[in-house]
Amino acid sequence: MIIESIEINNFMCYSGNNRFDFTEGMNVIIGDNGYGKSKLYDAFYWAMYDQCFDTNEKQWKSTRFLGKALISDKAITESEDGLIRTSVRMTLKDTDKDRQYIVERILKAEKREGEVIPDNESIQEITFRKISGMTGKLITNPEEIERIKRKVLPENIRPYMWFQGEQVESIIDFGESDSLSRAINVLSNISRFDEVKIVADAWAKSVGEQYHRKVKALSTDRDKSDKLEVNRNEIVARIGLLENDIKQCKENLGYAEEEADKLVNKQEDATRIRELDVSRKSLEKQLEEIEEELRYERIDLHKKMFTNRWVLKGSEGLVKLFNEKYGNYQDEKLSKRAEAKAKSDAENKVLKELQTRLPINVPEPVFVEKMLDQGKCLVCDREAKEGSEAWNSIKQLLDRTQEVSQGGEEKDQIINDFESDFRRLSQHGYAMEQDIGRIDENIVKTFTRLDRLDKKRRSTRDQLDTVQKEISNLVTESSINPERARHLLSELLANNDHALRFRGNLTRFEVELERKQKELEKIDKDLGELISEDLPSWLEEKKKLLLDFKEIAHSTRDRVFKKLVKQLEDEANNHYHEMMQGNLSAKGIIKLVESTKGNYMPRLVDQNENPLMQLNTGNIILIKLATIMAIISARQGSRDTDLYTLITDAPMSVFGEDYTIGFCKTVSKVYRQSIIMSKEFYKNEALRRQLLNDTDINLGKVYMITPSISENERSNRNSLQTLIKALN
Amino acid sequence: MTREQILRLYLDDDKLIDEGYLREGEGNQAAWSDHLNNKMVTVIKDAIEGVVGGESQALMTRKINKYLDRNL
Amino acid sequence: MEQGGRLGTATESSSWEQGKYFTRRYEIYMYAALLGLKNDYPIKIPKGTNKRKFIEMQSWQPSEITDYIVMALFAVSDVDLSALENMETDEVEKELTKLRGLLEEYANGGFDLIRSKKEDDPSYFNENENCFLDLLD
Repeated sequence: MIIESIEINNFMCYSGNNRFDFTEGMNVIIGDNGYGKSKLYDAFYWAMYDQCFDTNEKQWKSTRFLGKALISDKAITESEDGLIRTSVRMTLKDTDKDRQYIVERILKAEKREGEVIPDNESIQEITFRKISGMTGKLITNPEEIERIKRKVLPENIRPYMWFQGEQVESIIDFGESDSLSRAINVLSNISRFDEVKIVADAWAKSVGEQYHRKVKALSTDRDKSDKLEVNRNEIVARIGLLENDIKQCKENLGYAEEEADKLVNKQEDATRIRELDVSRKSLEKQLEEIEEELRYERIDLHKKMFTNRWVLKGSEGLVKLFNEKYGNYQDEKLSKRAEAKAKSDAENKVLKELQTRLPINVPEPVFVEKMLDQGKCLVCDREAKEGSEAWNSIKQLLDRTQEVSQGGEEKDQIINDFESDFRRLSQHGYAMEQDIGRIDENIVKTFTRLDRLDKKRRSTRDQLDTVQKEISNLVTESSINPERARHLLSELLANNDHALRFRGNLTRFEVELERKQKELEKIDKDLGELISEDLPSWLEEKKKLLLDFKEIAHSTRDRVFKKLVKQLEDEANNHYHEMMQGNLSAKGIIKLVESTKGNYMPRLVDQNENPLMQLNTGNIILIKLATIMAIISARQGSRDTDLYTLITDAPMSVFGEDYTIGFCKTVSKVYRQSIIMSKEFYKNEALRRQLLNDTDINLGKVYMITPSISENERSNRNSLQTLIKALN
Repeated sequence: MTREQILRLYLDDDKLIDEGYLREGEGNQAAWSDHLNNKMVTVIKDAIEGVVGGESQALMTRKINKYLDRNL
Repeated sequence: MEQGGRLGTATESSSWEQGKYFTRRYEIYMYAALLGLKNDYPIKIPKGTNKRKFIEMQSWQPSEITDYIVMALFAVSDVDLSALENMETDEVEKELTKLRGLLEEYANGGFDLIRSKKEDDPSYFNENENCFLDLLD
């Protein structure tokens, strides 16, 4: 059947009524992560199977457990008290016969006083109508319903036709023997051969016992044969145990080998993750340091207001003002001093004149006083009695001298000498003036430094974000976390140790088994020799027939299985190489190689069957996708790719651009209808254009979905709705 | 797969020729109703029938014994 | 020295929110005083207004800024430097008190400028990391 349309109403992020129409060919839904692609996938799944995949817990959940989570938040917020109806409605067309089927699932919820109570169960309605007719007929017969659902998608091929990218790894988990057998089984029913094998084993065992009983019965020496019998039973028991041990050992060895394989494959990714993690740690440290520095600088910045005198910005005027005043003050002082000096100069001059009247060695005042007392000029030794002209001249001299010395002081006398303070203030002002001139420059420098630091911080932050994103992408895709990545190598070595041990045990057991089997043979021979007559020929014949049949059953089963594996391998290679088209970097052939446990592991080899390279996550996913496609397309005598729709959001980002287009080409060729969800075409416009224009891609409808609220505002989901835009 | 197809795959096994149950070339083109007298072929057919028909192990063992035992 | 009155207190709360700009109480006072002085904007404080005290001007740090303020006060006041030298101690004291009063007036003016900026642009001090620096332009 072809899916013609899906109508999604009030389902998760699809509030209100939403509709996608599909045609034959490859239909593409483009949107970034979290935009609603996987919710669309959930819509398909829920409509058909009443389940949605919880990506956090990685498990399927039914309506009962999902309840309110299924209903659009916007619908809940905006509706008034009463009924809220969530539904998904798929319209399908049966192309063989001219009729339509509508599969609809409805969940009703009641809103009462702000509380929303959904029903415990959802209702599924399947309607059938002829296209030409208008009314549809609701199908009520449960068997008919099952038949129709099988027509939409049979149970056994469901995992390979409707799957999410995250499940790719596990759908074909080559490490699980079940997984490949199941896949092979889908390809062609191998279970019959397994069943025949079991029957053949049972028959062989039965005839063996029958034979042995007969031998015992014909024994001539009861005692001896009894003894031998006891021995024999021990050996048979021991053989049984050994066979179990060997089986266990093989299983353990198988696991170890698979683990080794997985680990080796993950090595590349693990190394990368380890590298990224180291780089992340160093970036985190850098960021911390820068942020610390920034914080310190910011605090310092405010201090600079005072320590760097920024607060004085633009106030030079005040300095000038003061210095004018100070200048005046100084002038005044200077002129006063000049006055005083002039006075004292004049005085000195007078004094000097006075002094010239006396001989050169002018007597000191003390001496002059003595002269006055004695009334005699001691220089010229003439009389100078008190009151005489000579005495008066001498006195005059003394007075004058005293006057001069006193007068200068007196003239210079003020109450407070603030000169040194004022001078200090002035000098200080000048000094500050210098600083003020430099303030602007200083500020610019500081802010430049801050700016630089901030840029550095932002760039480090960006780098850190990029690295963290890369790590988380890689971790998700390869399922290794950084912790494990670090220990991967030691894990590998430990694993190899285990494997070595198991191999050792296995060899030991096998050697002993052989020995025991020989012993058994001998005893049987001995027992045989004790019999008196030949065993009946029909019994001999029966024994031979059934033992041979057992061998045939085993070998045929293996042969058929191997052939199917080869078939799968060939078909997978076809798809793989088509997807690789034009890409030289990853040639190679997929080879499914059998392991000890009986499982098959994918290897990429060259023409000479040498391993080409270690497989990284991207390779593995491509190979698995190719294999998944092969399972369906290789089914002999089936038209599955014609009859059923592929629905997937395969992780194409893992393979890169070239492979994405190759993948699309292949898918559109192999499946009559496919619905692909992709984020690769969202950001990459060139790729999108290629998709829309490449004639090799059989394109159906292409849609772009965007949420009505951006990522950052996503915390409030009450107005979230999904906008659908058709691109062709 | 039809019974016939399954049978052919078994008859294709080398063991049959090695042990002389069939001659070369007889196996892979055989129709279901061929080789009715061939014991090995009958055994194989019985197994296939039983498995496809969903018979129990016990029943199948009884049947094969019935076919191969010759009790006097 | 006492802090300016009610015109100053309007900005008090916002300054203390940004405790990071000024670590000591007197710092904002210094800032306001210089702002007022630079813009030649003294506002007399009405008699009887409440005044808050904080530590003596002598203890203000850094001393260079303090000295600068003293210088500026001398500059803008009408005190005659030489006349000052010839005054008796109590007269000198009076002049110094005048200067102190001037300081308060200019600080007051500075606070008014800050307050007015806050009124014009309520978010200025909250959003701008460098608000006080920019105010000096």
